[in-house]
Amino acid sequence: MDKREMKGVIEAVLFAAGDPVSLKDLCGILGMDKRDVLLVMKEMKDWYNYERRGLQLIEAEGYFQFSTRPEYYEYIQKLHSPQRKQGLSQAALETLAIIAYKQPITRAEVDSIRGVQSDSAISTLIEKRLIHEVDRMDTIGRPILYGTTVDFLKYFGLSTVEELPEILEEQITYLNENTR
Amino acid sequence: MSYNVKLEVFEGPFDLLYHLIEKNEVDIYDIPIADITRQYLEYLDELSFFDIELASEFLVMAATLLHIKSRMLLPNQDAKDQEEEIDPRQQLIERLIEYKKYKDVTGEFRKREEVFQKRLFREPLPVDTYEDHDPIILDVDVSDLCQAFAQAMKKYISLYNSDYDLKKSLEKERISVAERIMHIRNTLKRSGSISFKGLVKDCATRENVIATFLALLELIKGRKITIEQTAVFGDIMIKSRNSKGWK
Repeated sequence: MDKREMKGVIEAVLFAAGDPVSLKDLCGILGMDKRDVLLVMKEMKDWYNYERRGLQLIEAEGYFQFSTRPEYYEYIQKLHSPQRKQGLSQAALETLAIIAYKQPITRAEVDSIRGVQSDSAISTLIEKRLIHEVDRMDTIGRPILYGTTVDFLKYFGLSTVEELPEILEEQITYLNENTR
Repeated sequence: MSYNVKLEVFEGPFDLLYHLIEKNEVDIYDIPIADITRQYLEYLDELSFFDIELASEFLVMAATLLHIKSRMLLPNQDAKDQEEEIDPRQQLIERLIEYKKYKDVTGEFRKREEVFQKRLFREPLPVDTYEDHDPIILDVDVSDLCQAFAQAMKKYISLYNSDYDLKKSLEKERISVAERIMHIRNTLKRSGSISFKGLVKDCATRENVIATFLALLELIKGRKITIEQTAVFGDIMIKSRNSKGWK
């Protein structure tokens, strides 16, 4: 199978699936190893971006999916207005940020950073499938440890948690140096 | 008359405290604790809480602030003994800074949320798109039905051309699609299946045949019936989709 055909197959499979397709599944479908498939995926991703296509190939934790390009949202809206999902509340966003950077983390730890109870924020985030239980802490009561999900990455357009915006540690150190 | 003043909503005691520090433009490492405590308490007075849980969180912070204030007012008796005096504000500052770290980054999260909410995804295709679970419906498509319709029409046109009395035809029998749907449903309820030829046999007029044809299309669209053709140009059998008949 040449590269062109591979790209055709990948495109067809992703279009038909709708749901994110794992790299593993794609390898199985193409009968090729991860390295080759990834190489082609990368080329495709770049091509879609370079050509400013209406679709873009997105990746999150080894899953691939097509989505429309955000820039064209207003045009799609002219056709019919897709239900605009309500953004997260400030409390939920704050809680999510803490979980994202400090995962795995217990609810009590989140509470102590925020100085306020985070029960409802956490249940909202679970409901929206942005966080999930990853483990239990090995202490009294075995509290739940929360972590972020693949949906979380998709929600914020990230491929991995490593891509999270950098926390402004340097600004804090700067403050430290200038006030002490 | 009472006025309900809408105050800025704070996400918690740290949020409020941080807001005060920023508003006063004071150094986070050197909080004028007396001032900030006074302002904090003023805010609490103005805020009307409905949520006892949330209110208590704010009160804990107020108590902490008052505690720190009192410790700063009292001369530290151990100070002489100790080389370095521990600032009572230290712990609070550390927590505030930790909180600020995450609060600051939420702005970035919000921006990304806005952009990436504008991506739309396709819904996955239903599984039965890949595999048709109803082979009967595969046997015949609408074009076969059209062909059968054309044959029926041909028959009626030839009838019309030979011995059709024009005067009689003025008294038109008005048959609606809905009536034909009822007729087909009733027939199927009685006998389970009927052939297309059988169905149009008793149609007296062209309008009636058309109405019957439209009724069939309507029933197929509504997935109420299945159509089956065993041979090319053969008669088409119409069956109720629900084997137990109409409900």
